[in-house]
Amino acid sequence: MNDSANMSPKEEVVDSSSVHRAPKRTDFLFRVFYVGCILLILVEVDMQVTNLLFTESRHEYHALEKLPGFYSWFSFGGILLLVVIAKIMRKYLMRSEDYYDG
Amino acid sequence: MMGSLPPAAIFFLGAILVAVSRGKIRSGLMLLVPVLGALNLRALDPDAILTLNVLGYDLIPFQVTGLSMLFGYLFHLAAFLGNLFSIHLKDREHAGLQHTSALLYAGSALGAVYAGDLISLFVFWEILALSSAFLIFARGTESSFRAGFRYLVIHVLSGVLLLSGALMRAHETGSIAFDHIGLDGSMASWVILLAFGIKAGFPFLHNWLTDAYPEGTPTGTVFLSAFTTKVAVFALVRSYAGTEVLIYVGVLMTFFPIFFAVIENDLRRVLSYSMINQIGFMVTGVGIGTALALNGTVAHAFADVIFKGLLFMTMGAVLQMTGRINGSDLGGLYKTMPITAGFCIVGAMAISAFPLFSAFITKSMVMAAALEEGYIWVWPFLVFASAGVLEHAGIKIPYFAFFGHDSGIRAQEPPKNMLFAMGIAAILCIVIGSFPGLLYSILPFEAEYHPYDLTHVVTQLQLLFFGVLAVVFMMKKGTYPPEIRAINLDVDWVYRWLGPRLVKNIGGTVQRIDNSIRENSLTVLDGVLVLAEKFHGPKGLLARSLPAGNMVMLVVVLLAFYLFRFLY
Repeated sequence: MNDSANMSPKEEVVDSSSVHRAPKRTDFLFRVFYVGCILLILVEVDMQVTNLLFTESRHEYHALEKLPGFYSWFSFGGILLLVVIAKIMRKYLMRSEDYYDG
Repeated sequence: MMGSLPPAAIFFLGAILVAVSRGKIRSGLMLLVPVLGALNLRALDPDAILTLNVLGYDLIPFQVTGLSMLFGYLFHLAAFLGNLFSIHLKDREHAGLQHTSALLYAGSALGAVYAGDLISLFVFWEILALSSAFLIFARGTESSFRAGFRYLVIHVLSGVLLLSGALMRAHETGSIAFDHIGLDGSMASWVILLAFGIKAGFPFLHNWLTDAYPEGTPTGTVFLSAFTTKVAVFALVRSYAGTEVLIYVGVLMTFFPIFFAVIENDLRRVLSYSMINQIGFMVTGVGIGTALALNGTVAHAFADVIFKGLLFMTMGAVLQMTGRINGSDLGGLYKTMPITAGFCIVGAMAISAFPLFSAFITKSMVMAAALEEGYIWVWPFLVFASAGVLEHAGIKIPYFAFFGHDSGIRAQEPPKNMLFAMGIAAILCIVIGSFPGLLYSILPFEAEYHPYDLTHVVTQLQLLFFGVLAVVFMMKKGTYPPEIRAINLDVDWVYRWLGPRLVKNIGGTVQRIDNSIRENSLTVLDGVLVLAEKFHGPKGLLARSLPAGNMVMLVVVLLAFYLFRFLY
């Protein structure tokens, strides 16, 4: 009993502090992530064109891979398409949770 | 003849001992059985074989091959992690039943991968189905009972097909060897492929998986995710390597579940769809059939058992601690379950194939093999499906459970044994991904592959970062689909909605026809009775009794008539 009585206020403290901290920390993580995206484009440009740091060219086995930034836009566009199609599927396939119980 | 015991025997014996023991002894046994089993595996004679003659068939219930050994170690590892994850279970959670069936289940999976003939395979195939169903029934809810029953029916059907195929093959070729079969145009080869396909979750045959796995107990589904489908993958590698149609079947499997995973609310069902997607990569590898592709298939099966097991463990922990598993009910759990959240992220990164994580070194082998063999149309679909994995398993699972909208649930971390099991699986995901040589050294086929070159690392990171960017973009714009308390129709609609109604309607029609036939017959019968009454009733014409003299009179008249004819 004592334990659980002690636990809840402690939890609340941890909780509220993490709520206060969360936006800043998330913003920072997002910035790191955006920088990561830009760096990955720069690495590809360097590999393919400037060869300042990376002298090795990208191996290309498939015709699509020869397109500049293929993996970046294919993935970005692919996931947009995936979600759009999935949202359309919802219109036709979504039913209430007790659909099969009736 | 034999170096040591068949691995299945140790597990079956262990299951019996676990069934009759309680408390710490039972817990100890559960951890000891996979460890002893692994030691036995190390000591196995590479040429060990056990033969039996039953009803004129030469059965080989146990035979060691390189491919069996890899799956043997994998299943021991999975059994150990699953047992460690579930030793805290209480009697009210049907602990004894769950532990016993889990060991029987693992044992039958081992039996299947060491089976040398199709009849022995069939026996283990059926024990596999039956023992695993109890991990669903043990949940104790009405819906789990129904789902478990559907699961059992479909798996028994798969077993019946396997046995029929085996007997047809025995009739056609005189052999029941569990070896390369391939699609040779014979009926037997198709029937056996269908049996394997049901267990592997081929498109349209897949729905038992997404129906039943989310209904298993929090710990039981961890076992379910490890064995059944991997036994099927093993069987496909052994019997159908290089069967081209499997490439297209596999690609379809990687492709369609990712759409369902986006809109599915039950997070363990999301993982079930994700599982079909991962098996799709393996089946594609089987279809390509080169040494690199097959190594990719078995390596990916190995990695998948661990990372998918880890993800199912984290979701099992969430279900156990909160009683909820729908994305719409969860969120913000990282505040009180940070360790579980961390393990979930490791699992998510492993399945998404981040460099240094396991799928990075395994899935790419199948994709490289597809390019090597000139399947240029297949490859973009596999890349697209890889991005899809990132979306549902990499982002959606951890995001909706542990981050996102704060559900207000303040659940504690799960018991220590669960954390340890997740911890070991998480470490393995990183070790396998960071030191590929460890896994590559035990792969059964001869093929060289180097996952860590600059191109692979950079392109994979681009795929992942820009995939995440797309999701971030949609979330910031508010166009990302929210989790909704609802279900989505899939193929199971046919046998859960349409089938029962058809049966009801057909039954109704048959009954109506039957009724009208009965009524008409009765009317006709009534008419006949009325007529009979009329003629044969007490006052009927034919029922009148005439005196014998009348008859004599008639005879006399007739005789007189003939006499006159004779005379004139």
